Order: sequence, then structure tokens, then C-alpha cells
Amino acid sequence: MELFADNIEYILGGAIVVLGLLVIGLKDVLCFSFRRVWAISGVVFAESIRRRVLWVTPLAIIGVFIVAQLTKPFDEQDAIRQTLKFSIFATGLIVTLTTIILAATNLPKEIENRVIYTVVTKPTTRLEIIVGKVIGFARVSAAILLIMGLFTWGYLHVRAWSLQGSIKAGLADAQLSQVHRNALQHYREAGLLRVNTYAWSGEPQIFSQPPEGDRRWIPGGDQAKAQFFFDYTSADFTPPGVMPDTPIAMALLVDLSYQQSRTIMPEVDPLSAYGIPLPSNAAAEESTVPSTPTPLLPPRPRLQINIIDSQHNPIARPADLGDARGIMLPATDQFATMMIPLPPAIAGKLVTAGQFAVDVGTSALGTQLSFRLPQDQYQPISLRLINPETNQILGDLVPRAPDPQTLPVRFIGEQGTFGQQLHGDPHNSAIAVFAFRNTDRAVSSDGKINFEMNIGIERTGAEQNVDSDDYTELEIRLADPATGATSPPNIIQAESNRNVFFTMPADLAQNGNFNLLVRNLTTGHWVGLQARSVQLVTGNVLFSWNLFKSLLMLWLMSLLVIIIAMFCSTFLSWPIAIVLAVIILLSNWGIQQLGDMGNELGNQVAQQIFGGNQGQAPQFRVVSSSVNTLNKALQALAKVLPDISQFSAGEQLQRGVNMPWRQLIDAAAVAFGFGIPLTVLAYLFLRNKEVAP
Amino acid sequence: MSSSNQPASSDQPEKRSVARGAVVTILICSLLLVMAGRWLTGWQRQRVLTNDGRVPMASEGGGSNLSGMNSFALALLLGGLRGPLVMFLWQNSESQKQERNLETFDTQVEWIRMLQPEFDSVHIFQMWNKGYNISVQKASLANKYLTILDALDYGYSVDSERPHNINIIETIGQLFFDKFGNSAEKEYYRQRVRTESQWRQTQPQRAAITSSVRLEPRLNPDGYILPQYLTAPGGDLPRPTDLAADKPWNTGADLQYLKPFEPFPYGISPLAFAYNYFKRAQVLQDSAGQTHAQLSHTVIDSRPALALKFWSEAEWERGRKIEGGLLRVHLFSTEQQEEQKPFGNETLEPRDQLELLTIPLGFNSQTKKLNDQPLEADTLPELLFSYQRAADLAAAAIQEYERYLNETDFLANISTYESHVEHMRSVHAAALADLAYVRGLMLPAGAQRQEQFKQAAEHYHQSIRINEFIQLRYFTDVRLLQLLGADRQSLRKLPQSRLDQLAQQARDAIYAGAANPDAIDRNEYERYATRAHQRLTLMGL
Repeated sequence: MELFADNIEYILGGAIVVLGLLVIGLKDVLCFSFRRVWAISGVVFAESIRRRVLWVTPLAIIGVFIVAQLTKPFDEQDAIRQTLKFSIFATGLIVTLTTIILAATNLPKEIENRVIYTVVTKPTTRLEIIVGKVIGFARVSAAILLIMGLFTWGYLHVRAWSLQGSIKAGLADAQLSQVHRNALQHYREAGLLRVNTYAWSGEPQIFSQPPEGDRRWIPGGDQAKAQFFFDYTSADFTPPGVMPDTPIAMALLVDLSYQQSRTIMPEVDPLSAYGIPLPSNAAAEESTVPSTPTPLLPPRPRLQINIIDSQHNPIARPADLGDARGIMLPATDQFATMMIPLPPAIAGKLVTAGQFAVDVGTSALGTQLSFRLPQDQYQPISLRLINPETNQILGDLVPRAPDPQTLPVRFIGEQGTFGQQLHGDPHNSAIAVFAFRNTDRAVSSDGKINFEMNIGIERTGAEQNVDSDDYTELEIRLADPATGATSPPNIIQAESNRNVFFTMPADLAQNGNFNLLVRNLTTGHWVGLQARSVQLVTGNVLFSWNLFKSLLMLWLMSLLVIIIAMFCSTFLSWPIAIVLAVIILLSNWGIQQLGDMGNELGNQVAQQIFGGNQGQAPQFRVVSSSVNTLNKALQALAKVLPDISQFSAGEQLQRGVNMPWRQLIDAAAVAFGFGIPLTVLAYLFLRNKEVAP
Repeated sequence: MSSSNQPASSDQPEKRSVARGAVVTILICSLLLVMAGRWLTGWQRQRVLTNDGRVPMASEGGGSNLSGMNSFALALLLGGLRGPLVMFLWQNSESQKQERNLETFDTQVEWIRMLQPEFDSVHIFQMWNKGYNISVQKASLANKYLTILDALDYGYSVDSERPHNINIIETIGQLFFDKFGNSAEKEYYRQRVRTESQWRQTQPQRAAITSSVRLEPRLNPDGYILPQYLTAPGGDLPRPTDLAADKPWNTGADLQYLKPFEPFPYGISPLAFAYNYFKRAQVLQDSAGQTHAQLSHTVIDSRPALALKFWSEAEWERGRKIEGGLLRVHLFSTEQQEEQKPFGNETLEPRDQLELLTIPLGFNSQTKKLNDQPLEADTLPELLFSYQRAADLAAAAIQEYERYLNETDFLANISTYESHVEHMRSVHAAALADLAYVRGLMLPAGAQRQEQFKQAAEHYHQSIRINEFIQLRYFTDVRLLQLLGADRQSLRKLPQSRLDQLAQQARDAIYAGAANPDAIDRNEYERYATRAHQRLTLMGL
């Protein structure tokens, strides 16, 4: 049943095709002639041209040209990007509007003015008529796309060429910041119409020092935590040989060590403590030299443990485990195993959840926690199951990731607006590690590999009494995980949400496995990092090729539009057919917007109706559950509606990213997956429609 | 069937033609009526906005670009889709702002500006939006600065299309005042505006970039304002004949009100720009009868004085910084102060720290007296200029406050702004005192130096009197004053000797533990007085 529900769109589509072509329309299928179909399509194409459909393209071109002049880009690349965006948007818009109007009006008008007589009285089948018309309109959309594609290609090349002068003028500006100079130099060298292929690492991990063998260090101050995954089912909490009703207590065993590097100074004379010279006369009056203060060690740090379920909802907080401040770490700098008993309520929640994660970190500043990675014979953390009556150890649940190939632990930073936060500190900044594995890489003639970085930056709210431009400085190193060798640092400047281009020596990345280590050197700046924040350039392709792929995607979309419009026009008048076609095209998108809200939608609607009126709780539940049920029904309906978000043609093109074939295949699957059954349905409707005496 | 319809169908083209003609006639008549209605509405609006024609307004619809077209023409051009398009742009730009994805944000705001050229509230919002909401999303100070500059560009674009508009001019002033002049990043902004306002050979603009990458120079190499900023683009506006002679009148020149403060050898402060635009807005309100869309009469009227006050303080602070540079003073960070409290229980702003740390300028710690040799440094001319400018501005601010407070409508605000006037008197005296002190130090020990020191001493004494009066008048507990036999209202009538006595008694009582609810403010003026006392001691006067 679940299989049926999951694949209902394919089952329905297949049933329509089989029933329509092999049962009802077998006769028409057997006498199907591509020659006649092509002839019909030729008539449709010629008729469309005669109706001056292509005149819409000069209008669109003029529109694009005007709008491109009214943009306000922040640099030359942005000017190209915006122009490209408008060109692709205009192309998509006119091709969609034109085809939907042509396809939806064609059959009703031919029936109305009896032109259809001239076709149906000839030895053609209704199947050939439908397929011929679809192909005819597809040829019209191809013609529009060809014209717009040639314009886009030519206009973008002219614009890119003219903007090289602007880049030159920018580079001649001696006061240009390093961030902008770096970008302009890249545009000059790589061109504004470059299209690259990229490789990405997984999610970055945050450490206090570079990983060494199986040792990992994370910084204190709540900057990072080690997250261990436990992917189990409730049944796994009853070890083999243990009776199901045996009471089970639980405890976490955590093996780690820690180091404290921060010292605090005792109360001393305020001026001498900081070595701040007084004005000459005042300094002269200070006759006594203060003694050097003795550093004091801060108190022992505490361990904060949080347990969350697979939906990131908290199961246990530090307060639930005994102390809201956390658990005092042992007084040793060696690895030590701590046993943390879990209250029965928490243990019960873990059994119910099955899948959960244990976050381990410390809020103590200047402290770093050290872990060893899980191995066959060693686990840094485990969940011990104990019989509380006999104190017998029943078994240990060790960290386990859903994917057995991946490590069941990750070291992650605090989540900020732009991703994991990397706090700035010129001396003791944490390190973000982007692990690139099995990657191709394009090595330049000077033995370098190219990277692009796009990060978000947050700042503390402190008053900025500085007289420099205050760009965020990052230190980048490339490390070979096998040998531990690292490259010399590359210091770059970055701005929030702007691309930064940099190169690193390729010699440490020979086999495609390497780590990119990023440190934030600017105090008061917090860098937000995600998996796609850093991308490795692995090659490049021609802009025209990428443009072609984008246009091909638009053509696939137009094909779907034509089929839907044609289908609607077989049983509706043309204005209603247009409206229905638009609704069918946009419904999936609209339902997805609602679906993103999940069960919150019902609550929100009920909240709006009843507000905080506690006396109407039953009514609240009725409305809430009704809306949620309706939402679920809509989600089910969405499965049999085309997902037009698969036809996003402009995004990759604008960003200079090579469009993967996979994306085109997905778009083709939507176009044909919905198009073919709808064509068959259109044929069946037309077959049973009396269009001529 | 078809034959019976034949006669009727032959009449149809004629009927259709008549119907079409009627429709076209109705359409043309409607168009003409709408145009007439719009013209009448526009005429009425013009009459109201220009105070019955006393202030020339920018013509609407005569521009050469999209924003120059009036909404009617735009609506026709866009086939009536202007409204939906604007709605889409507003919603999209605001959601981009929320998501911190600003890729096409500027383009969308620019289109909104072009599509809604007649709505001042739109322009006020967008300038504020860029200057405040968007600039804070940038990480570096340089890019924050450029974003505020972009907000100003927006304002200047609207100003060129709709000149003499109180809403736009005041908002430009507000950006200079609040963002460049007084925000958390003011140190960087103030210096950059000063530097970029100075003369330089301008670079050719990058074709792709329509936003400014730096402020356009406003000064010639000698520090005088460039002529194009002192004359209105289409010639100065004629002064109405019925305007009172003592009333100022906007000529339409961009920097009209900075002319009296020329030259600007060290660039123009953003607070100076703010004063200029605030003054223009105030005159538009006062003499031309314009009303701001969002701010009250009182606010508009008080802004020029407030800007002058801040400008004066900024110049004064520059002087202190130059003195600090001469003494190589290292300031305490807020964290250092909070951990170690070098100034007692207070944490002091850099300017307050400098007030104390720069006292020993010229003092020789070995000989325990002032150096006999003249003080020499490259920065001394700038130091003298800053103190002179601070004093001049303080005097101008007092005049501006008095103008404002003399307005009958604003008598209610006298309690608020009276302290500002007193503070400006304090700055005036202190700046003149420091000016004379530094001038004295620049001379070798002898009669000429003593002459300067005598002048300095006179101003320092005056500064002490003013600061002690301010402490008594505003920052001494009312009950303490009563115990000492005085009250705040009658202080002005007391002789100086009695005021000196009261000040000393109040100080002693506070040191002995009397209530001091306004300790922070009181301490500020105590520091000024202390500095004056210390300088008098250094001079031996």
C-alpha cells in the first residue's frame, strides 16, 4: 500500500498510457504515421508564424535591453548576472505565454471557425492531430528560444567585452580595497562569462587545533561541540538474553581529556597591569615599579551535555543531568572516563526516540576538549544499560550513524544566522576544516588550485572605534590528512555574501584528498560557514554550452505547458483552458508552500480564528485538525501535478556554474512523465468529441 | 439557416463600426477628463506645497528618465501594471532584506524610486532603509560606509528631481547626522567624510557601477567650497519681497549654509553637512511654509542648533585627540576600565579620558614646570584650527538655540535646551582657553607667552565658573541645594561670589557622602573644571 502511495503518479500515468493507447486507441496507434504528424506540425508552425508570433521576440529584446540599463549592480560580475537573469526571465516568460495562448486557443478556435474540418476529413487520426499540434507548437517555442538565445549570447558577450573597460578603470583606482581588487583581478583574468564546474566538501567541522591522527580538539566557550549519533530502535534497548520487562537504568560513559590555556590575573595596579604608559609627567611621578603579577588558574571547567532527538528537539539539558552549569571535569589532564547517570525519565525518552544525538562541549573560555575518534575497540562515548536492581551491566550502545560508511561523530560550531560560527581572534581562533575527498581539481599553469568562497559575517554590537576599513581577515591553509603537512598560510579579506577568489598550492592535494583549514583573524567578527561556503574549481565549460542547456530546459518546460494547455482545450473553451492550464502548472508549487508549514498551518489558522481564547479549545482542535487534514490531502494531490521548480533554468547560468546533466534529466522526467499521459488523455477527449458533422 | 441570417449580417459591419466609434470616443473623453482632473489636483497640491507660490517646486513629468515621468505617463506606459509591479518590488525587496540576500536589492529599490517618484514617504523610507537596515548587514566598515553613501546618492537623485523638498533634504541631513556623525562607527565615518570631501582629482566612474565608491569632493585645494555647491543648479532662487530681512532664505545652493564657515582645510565634518541640510529644512519650514511628512515643527526647528552643538563638540574632541597624540596618550578600552576601574567606578568614553590625560601638555616632568622652549609639532596648526572652530561653532550654536527658543511656539522647550546653551558656553570658554594655552606654549618663555597665558587664564576662569554653575543648576540634588540655602530657579540672580561659595559647599557635601543622583553628568563638568584648574596651576596663574 505504501509502495502504491509513494509511486501513485507513475502508476496513474502508466495506466493512462496503457489504457489509452493499447486498449482504447490501439487502432489509431497501429496506423500512426510520423509523416502525417510532421505535416500537421508544419501547418501549425506555419500558421503561428503567419500570426506574427515571432514579433514578440523583438519586444522582449527591447525590454531586456531597457531593463538592463536600469539595474544597479554592485560590480561588473553582478551587472552580467543581472542582465542574464532578465534575459532568461524574459525568454521564459514569452515562451510560456506564447505557447500557452497558442496551444489553448488552437483547437477551440479551429472547431469554432470549422477549420478543423479540413484536417479531420483527411485520413488522419485524432492521435496524430494531437501529437502533430504539440510538435508544431514545440517547434514554435524552439524558434523563439533560438532567437532569444542568440540575442542573449550576443548581448552578453558585447556587455562583457564593454565591462572589461570598467574593470580596468576599477583596478586603476589606487584606493581600491583588497577585497574588490581581488575580485576585479579575477574577473579580468577569468572573464565575466566563465562557467566552472565545482566540487564541495561536506559540512565544515570546527576544531581548536588541526586534527592529528585520531585526536580531535574542540574549543570551549560554547564555540563548538562534539555530536555523537545513536541510530537505534526501541527494541535495541533490550539487549539479547534480557527479559523484556527487566528494569533498565542508563548512564553515559564519556572518555575525554581537556586543557586550560587561559589564566586570570590577580588584582594589581590598573595602570601597570596593562603596561600602559602614562603621560610623561604622570609616568615620572610613578616611582615604584609594580611586581609581576602571578597568573592564576581558572576553576576547573564543566562539561555541558545535551541530548536531542532526530528532529533536534531537546531530550535532556545539563539541568536534567544534575547541574545546570554542567558536570565538573576531573582534575587531570589525561584521558579519563566519566560516568553520567541518566534520570529514569530521560532514559524512557531515549527508548521512545531510538534515534538521538549526544552533544558534548564546554562553555569554559580558554579550555579545549580532546576526543579520540571511535574505532572498533574504542568508543569515546557509549550508553551503558544497567539493571538497577542487581547493578549488572546489560550492555553498551555505542555511537552509530544511519550511514555505516560515515563516522558517527561530527564536531560542529554554534549555529548563527549564516551557518556555523567561527569566532574571530588573531591569536587563538578556532579552525574550520573543510574536508575535500576524492575530488578532481583544475591545476593552473603555476601549480595552484582555485577556490571560491562565499560566507556570511556577523559582528558583535560593540562600538567600532577603529580607523581602518576593518575587512574580515581569514587565514587559509591546505593540509594533507595523510601526512599532516600544511601549506603556508594565505591571508585573504572577505565581505559578507560576496565571492572571494583565492588559490592554494596543488602539491598537497595531489590525490584529491585534502583539508582546507580556515581561521578567522578579526576580533569581533563571526564568520558563518556552511558546506557550500567554499567550493573547489574542478574545471570549466563554455558559456554557450551552459546557455544551450538552460534553453533546452526552457524548451522542456514549454513542451509541458503546450501539452497541458492542449489537454485543457480539448474539453474547455479557450479562456477557461488557459486559466486551468495556469492552475495546473502552479498548483504543485503552491501546495509545496503550504506543505512547508507542516502541522503548524492548522495551528496558525486556528490561532487566527480563536486567538488565545482557552474556552474554545475543542473548536480550536477541530479547525486545526481539519486544516491539517486538508493540507495532507493537498500534499497527496500535489504528487499528480507537475513540479515546475524542476525547470529552474537561470540559477546555475547566472552563477557561472555548469548545469549538471542530472538536472536536465530531472526536468525531462517531469516534462515527459506528465506530458505523455496528458497527451494520451487529450487524445482520448478529442477522440470522443464531435468536432465535425 | 444561413440564408435567413444573410440580411442581418450585412448590417453588422456598419453597427460594429458605430459601436467602435462610440467606444473610442468614450475612451478619449475619459482620458481627457482624467488628465484634466490630474492637472487640477496637481495645481492644488502645488499651491499647498509652495505656500501659494512662494517656493518654486520642481516640475513633475518633464524629466528625461523614467523617474522624471509622472505616474500617469508611467501607468500608461506599463499598461496599468505599475501598481502590481511596485507591490511585487516592495515585497520582494523587503523579503530579500529579511533573508539577508541583497543580490538585486539595490536594483529593486532603484526601480521603486523610479516607479514611485512622487511619494516622499517612499523616499524617506528607502533612504532610511539603506542607511540603517542594509548598512548594518555589511561586515566591514568600508562597505557599511558605502551603503550609507548609496542612501545619500538616492537622496541626491531625488533632490535633483524634486528640489527644495523638506522631506528629502531633512533625511539627507539625518543620514549625515545620525549615521556618519553619531553612530557606533563614527570614528571611521567622520574621518572618511572629512578626507573625501577634500580636493582630489576625481577618477573616471566605472561604467558598471552606478553607486558612488567615495564621496565627491566638495572643496577646492585651498579648502573653500567648490562653486557648484554654492549656487543653485538653475540659478539662485529669488528672495520673496515680503520676507522679513532678518529671515534666512534658501537660494537652492547645496551647501549654502556652510559658506560662513569657510575655509575647511581639514575637510568637512559630517556634522557640518548635517547642519547645512537641517538648516535648509528649517528655513523651508520657517520661511516657505513646508511641512515635514513625519517630523513635527519643533523637531525640524531644533535640528540646526543640535547639529551645531555636536559639530562644535566634535571639533573640540579633535583638538583633544591631537593633544593626546602629542603626549602619546594610550587610552583605556572599556573592558580594561571595567576590569580595573582606573577612573574610579565610571567607564569613560575616549573623549572624557582625553580631558584628563592631556592636561600636562607642555609640562616637563623632570623640571616640574612648563618647558621654556616653544612647543613644535606638525599637528599644531590643526590643533589651533580645531579649538578656534570649536569656539566659533559653540557661539553659532548659542545663537541658533536662542533663535529657536525665542520662537513663541517653542517656549515650552526652554527647560530642555537651556542646558544645551549652557554647555555650549562651557565649550566656548574651554576651547578659547585651550587655544590661548597652546598658542602660549608655541612661544618661548617670556612676555609674549605670558600674554597668551593671561588670555588663557581668563577663559579658564570663565570655564570654571560656567561648569560650576551647570553643576549647581542641573546636576546638584534639589534637597542639597535647599540645605545650602538656594534653589535652582534663583541661581541666576545670585552674585558670583555666592555661586563660588555654593559650588564649594556642594562639592564638600558630596565628598562627605551627600546624595548625588546625577553623578555621571556632574562628574563630566567636574572634569572640565578640574582641567581648567590644573592648567591654571601649570601656568602659575
